[in-house]
Amino acid sequence: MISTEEFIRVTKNQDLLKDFGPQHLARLAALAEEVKFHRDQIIFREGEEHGMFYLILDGTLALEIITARHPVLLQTLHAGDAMGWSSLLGSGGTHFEARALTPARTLAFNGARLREACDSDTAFGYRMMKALLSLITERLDVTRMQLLDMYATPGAVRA
Amino acid sequence: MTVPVQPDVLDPMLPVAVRVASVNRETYDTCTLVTEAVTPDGLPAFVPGQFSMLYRYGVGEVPISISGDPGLGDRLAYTIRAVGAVSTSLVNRHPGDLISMRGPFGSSWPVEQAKGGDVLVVAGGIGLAPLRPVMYHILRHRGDYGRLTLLYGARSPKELLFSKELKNWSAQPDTEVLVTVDTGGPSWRGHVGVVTKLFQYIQLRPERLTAMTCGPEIMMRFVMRQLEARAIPDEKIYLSMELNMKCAVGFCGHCQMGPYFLCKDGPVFRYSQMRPWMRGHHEL
Repeated sequence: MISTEEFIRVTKNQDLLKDFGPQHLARLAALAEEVKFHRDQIIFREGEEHGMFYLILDGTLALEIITARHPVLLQTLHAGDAMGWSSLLGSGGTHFEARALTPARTLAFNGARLREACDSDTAFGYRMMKALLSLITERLDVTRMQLLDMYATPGAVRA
Repeated sequence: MTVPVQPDVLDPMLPVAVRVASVNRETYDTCTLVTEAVTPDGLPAFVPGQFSMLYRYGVGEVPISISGDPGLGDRLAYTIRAVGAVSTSLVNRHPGDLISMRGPFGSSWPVEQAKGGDVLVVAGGIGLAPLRPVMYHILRHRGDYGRLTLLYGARSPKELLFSKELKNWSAQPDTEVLVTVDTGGPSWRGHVGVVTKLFQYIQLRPERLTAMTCGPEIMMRFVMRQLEARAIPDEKIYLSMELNMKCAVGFCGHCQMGPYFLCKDGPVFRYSQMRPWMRGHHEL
């Protein structure tokens, strides 16, 4: 656990927390634990019941899908990003494998304890779910953009 | 409005022969042709953002942005991706071959107006080609500008243009270069994700920023959303609209968008000019 002051200091660039007031930040701080990963450390494997939610403070993490031949890198995550949102839903395993591409420092939250906090303080829970929704919306936008294959040359200029 | 630059040519419809001086293979389907004059008159000057019509006898003509250094006036460089008959024919040229050219045509990036402030360049895919002269220009006149940031996205590492230059630019003072790909291979250690995601990792100073972007229209729409969220005024955002250009001089009307001919009034526009004509903006 880290102090509220320290929590506010290290999360000042976390987009996810930009609308959180001091009271809600204090509640999150009480649940946070600093966790470090070394290069190439597997944080969780696909399908695993990992149950942790992370805010990345520094370093680079990768979300990957493991195929028969090699891992396929889907997205890199950096300082200011969040990872492991499925732990807040409390059902099912992780969808991807997460690996540290560089040494990384995170704030980790136990998903079950975070859900309990959301249930017991609905104003906090609402704020948390709004933040989560904005995170998922961003991921959805990114996925749509990738599906559009937007760097392909438009048909109109195939001269 | 951006001011269209008058073509520095006697007859804008008359192609002139130019010689391919060198061919630089950029990716598996993209080359940069560096061209030089055949006659002692030399080649016309250009400003960053302009394009030429390149012509292959018996194949056809295609608009191609000038991608070289505006400080090197005796040659014009064109970065071409092979996507159709004409562009494939151009990509397959060799040093010493002759091709035909009309131009340069069109409006320019606001490199003069941006002096004294920060510059953000956002490019996707082949869209880095028309912005490379901006990078050359700013780095050649580094003291005239503030912070320079380049965000560049491509499908995969093997489709990144100008890899050596990207590395060199990132080593320049007060210059930040962030590159991302949609799909990274096992050896890729950089960003994976779309180019707009990179906005999250940079600090902008909206009050002194000029933004310039070129890439697929879909990408530019998402870039606009990021810039709007950071309170960058429409008047300080410039984009290059390179669509359907045929004649290059506003005769044929193929490239008309609203009240503008992209070839003659553009291809570089202020976002405030293009905003009403970029369909789908309000659904975003």
